[in-house]
Amino acid sequence: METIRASGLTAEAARRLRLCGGTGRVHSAFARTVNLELDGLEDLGWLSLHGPGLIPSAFGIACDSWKLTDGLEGASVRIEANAIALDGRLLVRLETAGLRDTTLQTPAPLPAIAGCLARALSSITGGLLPVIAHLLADAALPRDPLARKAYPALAALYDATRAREAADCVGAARWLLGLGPGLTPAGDDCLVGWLAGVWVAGPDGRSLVEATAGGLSEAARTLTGPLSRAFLAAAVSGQAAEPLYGFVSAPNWTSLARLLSLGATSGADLLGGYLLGRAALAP
Amino acid sequence: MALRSVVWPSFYQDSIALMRVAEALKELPRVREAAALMGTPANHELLASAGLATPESKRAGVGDLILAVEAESEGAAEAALEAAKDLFAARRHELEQAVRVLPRTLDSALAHLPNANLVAISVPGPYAKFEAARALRRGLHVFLFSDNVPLADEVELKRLAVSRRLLCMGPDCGTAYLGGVGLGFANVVPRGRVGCVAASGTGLQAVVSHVAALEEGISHGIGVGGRDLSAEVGGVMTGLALEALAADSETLVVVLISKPPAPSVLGPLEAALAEVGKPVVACCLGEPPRLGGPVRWVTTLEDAAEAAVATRRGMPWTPRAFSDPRAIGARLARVRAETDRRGAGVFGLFTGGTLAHEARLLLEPLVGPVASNLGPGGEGSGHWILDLGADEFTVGRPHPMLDPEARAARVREAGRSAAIGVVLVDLVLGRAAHPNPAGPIAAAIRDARVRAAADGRSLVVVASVVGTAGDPQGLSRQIAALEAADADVLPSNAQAARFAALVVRPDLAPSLLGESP
Repeated sequence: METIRASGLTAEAARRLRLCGGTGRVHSAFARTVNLELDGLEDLGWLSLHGPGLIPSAFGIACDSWKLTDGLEGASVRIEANAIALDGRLLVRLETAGLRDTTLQTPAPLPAIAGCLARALSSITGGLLPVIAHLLADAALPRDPLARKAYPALAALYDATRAREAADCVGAARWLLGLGPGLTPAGDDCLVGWLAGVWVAGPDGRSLVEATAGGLSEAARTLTGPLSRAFLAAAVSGQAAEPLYGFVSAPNWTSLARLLSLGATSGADLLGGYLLGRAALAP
Repeated sequence: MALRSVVWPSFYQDSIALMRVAEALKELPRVREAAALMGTPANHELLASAGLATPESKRAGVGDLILAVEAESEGAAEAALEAAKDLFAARRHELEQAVRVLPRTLDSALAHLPNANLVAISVPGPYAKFEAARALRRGLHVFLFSDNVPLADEVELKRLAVSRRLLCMGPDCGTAYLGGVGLGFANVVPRGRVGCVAASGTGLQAVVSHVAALEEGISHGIGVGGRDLSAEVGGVMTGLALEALAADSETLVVVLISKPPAPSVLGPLEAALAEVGKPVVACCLGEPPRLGGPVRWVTTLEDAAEAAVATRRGMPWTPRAFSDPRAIGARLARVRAETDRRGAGVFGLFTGGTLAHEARLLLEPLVGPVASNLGPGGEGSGHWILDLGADEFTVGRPHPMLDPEARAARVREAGRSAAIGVVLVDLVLGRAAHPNPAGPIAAAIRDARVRAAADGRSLVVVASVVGTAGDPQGLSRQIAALEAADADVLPSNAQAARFAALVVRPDLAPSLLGESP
């Protein structure tokens, strides 16, 4: 069995390792990430090459090296003392992994919303960012079916956020869940970003996130897939993927570029949702 | 019209793979629309509203992938779905290959390859100095692909490199050739006797491709980064590279490619060029050429290649505006018979920064000021040159040499503008570039023309392609794809810029073509 040594993991990942039943299976495997379905946990966990904070609320494990083996999907997973074993083929050792907390800090710096939108739109096509730019900065509304469907929902989410109406936020979010292209659909990415934007806006925002968390989780159960559900579950507890964490903590062109480079349009949709949340609760 | 879909249960592919497959299917013959979406309730509604829902797709659950295709025939739809399987398999193979050995530190990379003598670095700019300095201290040459490296870091790195007689190519070094091995964006060129020192990746690509077209080869192509000839850096790496080529027995002719050096660097540079001891061709775009002396100064990338090859062969050479003025005259006459775009704007959409710079330099004396993101001036003139590879256009998305879609969208948009008479584009081929850049651009050209025609206008598209017959994209295939979309494809960027000028200023024909308009 090949053994690799994890170089870091999130505090939330460590907590979940303690809570899970000790067994599970590989849900899906990508070149640099393996998604784990662990017994006793509702949401997926991950093994990831990217870094300890890249994927929130999960086993965001940064390893020194990685060799993806074919056919990992469905392979059995066993949690051992300070290690995770995949199907007897791969052992990830955790003893020396450093802990990192990826909980977003509140309050966070308010980014220059118009500037971020302009910069992002000059380089991104597709996804929901152009719709959010229409909402926040009067940019042209795309004429595709995705935009037509998303616009009323995003507008309702913005209004409900401004009014601090949790039930209306959940109602609007239901239209966005599972909507659009991508492994994690664009609407889900927007909602994850929105949760981050609302969470970091201060006590009001955090209360709103807490009030919407139950309804959102319930809706996500039937309206979107397990990967998105895991991201949303992380977001309602203030956890963010590392590129979003970086931008929220220090909004500048470098962190923006890093965020936008996430997935096909995932980074842009996260940004759009985040700006929508921040704009709605801006003083 | 045939509508087909397939559902792959619990099929998880990363978003970029889904996007690429959907885009690739849309480009297949007789395919009208394609979508790759997860089977969430919202996406079922989305498919229905787009007219792509089928009984099959409606069965997909939230964790299932739906692939939907609308095509002109059942056969075309079936073929597209089959192609999707191959595309997903290829993507998976590509990723698996990419991570088969994935060292995360310089030391682990050296453990895998202990005899390596060069390291390619592409970490974010603020971290580049740390990694590059480590490599230099271990005695490794550095190919520094990273951009946004602070100038002070570059100065420090190059001082360290020079003190150890090591190359530090870059930062922002897009292309290099060492000992026949292409690094970064590299065209497939034969080995030969022409050595290059280049402060520009696309400039180097253009020159080596022209050299290859003239059936000569490259000994080495040393990239030094766009700021090497600045006052701060002082041209130290250019100096070291010239020394290396002077000492290299394979190199018989040396070509220097850059923008104008800082005034404080120009004198030492000219002295260094004179000391090479081999024939030297200097192409410092925008720098007035010197007459006489040991160095042959030229004004375009094409001229640099031609002058170097002629020198290598011991043949006379003089610069010319067009390689075949008679053919250009005929082409111009055909364009003018179809449309009169006198006085209209030239709109350049470039993937190569140096090609954009060269086009602007050539256009301004012919059509007047040209506005650009390359530098101030020309606002309100009606002529524009955009370097779409510049930071402001590439934040968060691939460089247009990797992903032509953003430029294609701008080409389409050009069809809406009554002020634009000529769209000028470049295509840069080679390893690491997009596998078929002409495809999306040709489709966009057709759309732009249709749009312009709907408004009673016509649009002339002038293109040039940097590439060689050996490039994976196939030079002739790319040219043919552009010509099939009615683009006028010229043999070089310089000739394309001049031809664009002729379309809007036919009165220039006597001076540029030597014949009546």
